[in-house]
Amino acid sequence: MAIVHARVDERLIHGQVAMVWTNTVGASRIIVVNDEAVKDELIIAGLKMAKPAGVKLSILSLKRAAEKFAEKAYEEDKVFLITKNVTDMATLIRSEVPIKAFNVGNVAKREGSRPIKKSVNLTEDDEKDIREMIQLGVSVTAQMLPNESDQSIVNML
Amino acid sequence: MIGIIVTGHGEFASGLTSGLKLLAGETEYYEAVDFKAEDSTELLTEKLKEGIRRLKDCEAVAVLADLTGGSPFNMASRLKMSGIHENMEVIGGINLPLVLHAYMSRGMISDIRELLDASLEMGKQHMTYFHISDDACELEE
Repeated sequence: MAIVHARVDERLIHGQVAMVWTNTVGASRIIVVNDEAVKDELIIAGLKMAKPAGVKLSILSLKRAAEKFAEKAYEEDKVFLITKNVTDMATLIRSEVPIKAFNVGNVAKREGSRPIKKSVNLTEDDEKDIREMIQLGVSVTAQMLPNESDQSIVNML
Repeated sequence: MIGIIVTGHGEFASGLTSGLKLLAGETEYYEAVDFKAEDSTELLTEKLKEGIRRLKDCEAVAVLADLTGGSPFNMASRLKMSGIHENMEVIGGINLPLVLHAYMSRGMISDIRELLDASLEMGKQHMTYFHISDDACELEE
């Protein structure tokens, strides 16, 4: 099992993710971890439509994701893991899901957020979480597309 | 590297290219040729020739046209038949998934027909209704 890519993207699976990133990282399974998505039929339908053919899809709550990784449920897979926000990614890492690196792709503007680059808007809590993850040895990048620089996000904070 | 030229009526080519750039970033070994209302077919042919010239470092050129049998497709086909490039293919009826696939896969597929066969398949597969899918998906709360 390898988590070949972990991404924070508020749009979950969409054009760039489905058609560009999935192939680039060679994933066999996309795992969307989000407490809301797992209960929402419309979101589930949308994710199923957006996922590329030939790639498996899992939609899990945060709690179930931590449990399944602990149970080693994905040994055969090259996993592309997606969370909607930085908070959830940090929660997964603290729950010992083996994420060695994650990429911050798209984060919307919210109250208290500032743009650190186009399409990435972070609050102070997001920045705190990111710095904590970096301290834990996790590498954090901010590439919207694979051809962008994979320098550490810390250079942009 | 297989060069790609996207061409079509009006601003089809520029428009599609703007979508491609959002998905795949800045383009290279790639040309967009618009066939505007005021353009003659001679001018269109010149623009296509210029595009092919700009792709001279490419061992093959794929011309992807909007409509099979439309002027961009026809002018490109004539250029192919004239032998302007010994490894050139022209296809029509393109869509964005097809172009994106060709653009991204040419790094891995060096035979132009093999590339375009796969891209055509991808383009066709994409044409579908939104529907609540029965596709298996692991779903766990």
